[in-house]
Amino acid sequence: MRLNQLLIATLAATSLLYGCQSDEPDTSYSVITVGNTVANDFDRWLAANYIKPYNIEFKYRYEDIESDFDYYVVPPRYEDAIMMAKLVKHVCIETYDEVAGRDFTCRYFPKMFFTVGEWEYNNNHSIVLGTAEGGRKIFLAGLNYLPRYIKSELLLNEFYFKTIHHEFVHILNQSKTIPAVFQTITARDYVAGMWNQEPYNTGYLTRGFISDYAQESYTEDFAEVMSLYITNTDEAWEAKLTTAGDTGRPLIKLKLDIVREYMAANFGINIDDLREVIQRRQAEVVAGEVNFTDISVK
Amino acid sequence: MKPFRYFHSSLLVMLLLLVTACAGREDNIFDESPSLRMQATLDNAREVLMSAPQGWAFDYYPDSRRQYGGFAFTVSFDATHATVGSEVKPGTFCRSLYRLTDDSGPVLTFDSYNEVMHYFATPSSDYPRGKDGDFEFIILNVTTDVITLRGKRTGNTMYMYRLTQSPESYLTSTIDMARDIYLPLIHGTVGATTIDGSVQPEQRIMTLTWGNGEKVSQYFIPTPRGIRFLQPITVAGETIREMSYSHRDMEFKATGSTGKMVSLNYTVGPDYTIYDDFLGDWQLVYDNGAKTLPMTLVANADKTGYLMRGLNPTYDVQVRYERNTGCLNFCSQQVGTDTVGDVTVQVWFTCKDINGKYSVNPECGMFCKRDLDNPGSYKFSPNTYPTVKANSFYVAQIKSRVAIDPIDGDAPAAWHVNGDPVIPRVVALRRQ
Repeated sequence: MRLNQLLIATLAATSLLYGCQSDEPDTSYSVITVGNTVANDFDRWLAANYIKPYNIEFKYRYEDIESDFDYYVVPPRYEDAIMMAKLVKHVCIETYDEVAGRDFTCRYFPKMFFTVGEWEYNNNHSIVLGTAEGGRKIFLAGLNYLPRYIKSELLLNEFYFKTIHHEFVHILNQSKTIPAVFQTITARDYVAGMWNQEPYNTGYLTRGFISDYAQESYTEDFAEVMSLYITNTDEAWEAKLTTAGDTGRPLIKLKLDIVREYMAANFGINIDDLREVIQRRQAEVVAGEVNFTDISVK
Repeated sequence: MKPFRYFHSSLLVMLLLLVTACAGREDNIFDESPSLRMQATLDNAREVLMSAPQGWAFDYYPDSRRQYGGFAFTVSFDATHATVGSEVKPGTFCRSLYRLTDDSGPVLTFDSYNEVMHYFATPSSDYPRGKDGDFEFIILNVTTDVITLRGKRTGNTMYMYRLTQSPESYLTSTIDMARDIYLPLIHGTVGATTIDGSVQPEQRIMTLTWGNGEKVSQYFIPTPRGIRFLQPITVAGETIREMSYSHRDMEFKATGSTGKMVSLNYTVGPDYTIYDDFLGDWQLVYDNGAKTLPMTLVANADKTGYLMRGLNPTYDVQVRYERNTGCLNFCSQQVGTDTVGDVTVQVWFTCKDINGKYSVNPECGMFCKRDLDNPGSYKFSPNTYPTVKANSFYVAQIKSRVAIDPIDGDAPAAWHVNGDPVIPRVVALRRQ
């Protein structure tokens, strides 16, 4: 019995050895080829300003594998992608550097941006401005409209900055979960895909939602409270709370308190400091103090 | 129960499997690894794409159901950028990045925005999927003069043909050709075989029938010299890919694969006149032939009609060209405004009937068709407008567009033609 087993084991081992003996790999070339795409000035600028300091990849050329196959999109214009890369760096990356330190940015800020030229259009006439995936990737849409909005803080916020901060909050949430109590504040009033339809597209403030989209789900609600708070001026925020009135204001305030506590406890970030820095940097953009065309590498 | 016995036999079987599995050694079908071969394919594709100094004519078919038909594009390549033009954006040539990559086989992708290349791909709220156009193409075949591509979105097979003239002149001539190919019916011959057919000018589809109900139907795209089918067609035994077109003869022609002539003519009436033949100087014959006025017909901007010049130096009159019937259509139209006393009036060049009734309806007017009984002469007749059977022109003034009141009356004298607000009983156009 024991001898039999030994024999079998030996046979097995031998046959395995034989099977692989003659298959020598050819090491004279690599089977992995790098393609024949030539790096351009913007690629070099990105290497120096995104990849080297932060290990962030900013993809501005279309790759179908990065896009959402439910939507038909087109790539961004080269010049608009440069503008967006500089914007994101000035208004987002360097903001978090300033408020929370470069270690925070390197650790939490998404490792990849994938950008497209148009919005993602839904059949219900809403559009997707951006999404966050897996705590690592931010998808940003509508870059081809950037030159049209660059002079307006309001529109830049509406279409891009708020989106980036909003998506970044999702990414933070994917690292540290949203406190459970947050879901309970307006637990019964989330309406998923109906958020932009009658009757939900109006009066959301009085129901305790800072935006119409906040009604989608508690995760969107959380991201909306945070991103709208930091991108809106004090007056603009107060105006929203005033509209929210006696029923909405305390709900939104409660949500904001949870957000404030969450950011301080988990990431050591004071959202009021964050707000101040963001708004200063946004004002610099609109005032034309950021050069959007120079991609020379110092 | 002796489970170990079974254990041993099964072990033996598995062992045998291992032995046979590794016994042979398969030779590679190709000498090189897939990635190296892919790289070689892409390098070759780039070399061929860049080797055309004038670039390529790209017969582009958006939409997986091809509901819009096909469109003429041009693309020229350097090492990093492609410059794209198209009949859908006349005069615009847009330069952007392109890339050759290997995500679904060898792929040519226009991966940064190009307002021409992405014309049919760009989504909007009315068209969330755009017009279902491709900007990424799997490279199916590369030869010196033809590149075969398949759109990644639509799956449509498309071709690029090496250009031997500049993209600008190619597209300009193609747009001119496209303007001439609009009639619905054709007939002709292949050798001794009679062919009937039809053209859907909107989708650019030609359908031909012959013999006992034999039929072929194919998409085409205009070219500077005629049309090019999406795929070669075989009609009565002759295979053709392109046909030349002469608008003067209204004839498509090609020499088939076995040498027979494929000849197709648009089916039009004997009084049909092509656009160009109405251009130039004319005598407008009126007052039942007693009087004439010199005037000139000039092409309008997009060559869909004419401007009638010379009746009155201060204004031109627009004349429509009815391309399906090959005749002119003179219709009522506003030609200006004037002040009468302190009232602003609209000045209209109208058509009126034998009873003096006229209309400012832009459909009210007169046709002018080739007169088969008098060669060189073109005769006027009331058009299809129901309530005014016009036979005269009348320059009128109207106080408001809403209250159309014929008693508004004659336009001020500066607008008259030859000193008269009426050109009565217009009968013909004759060459000067």
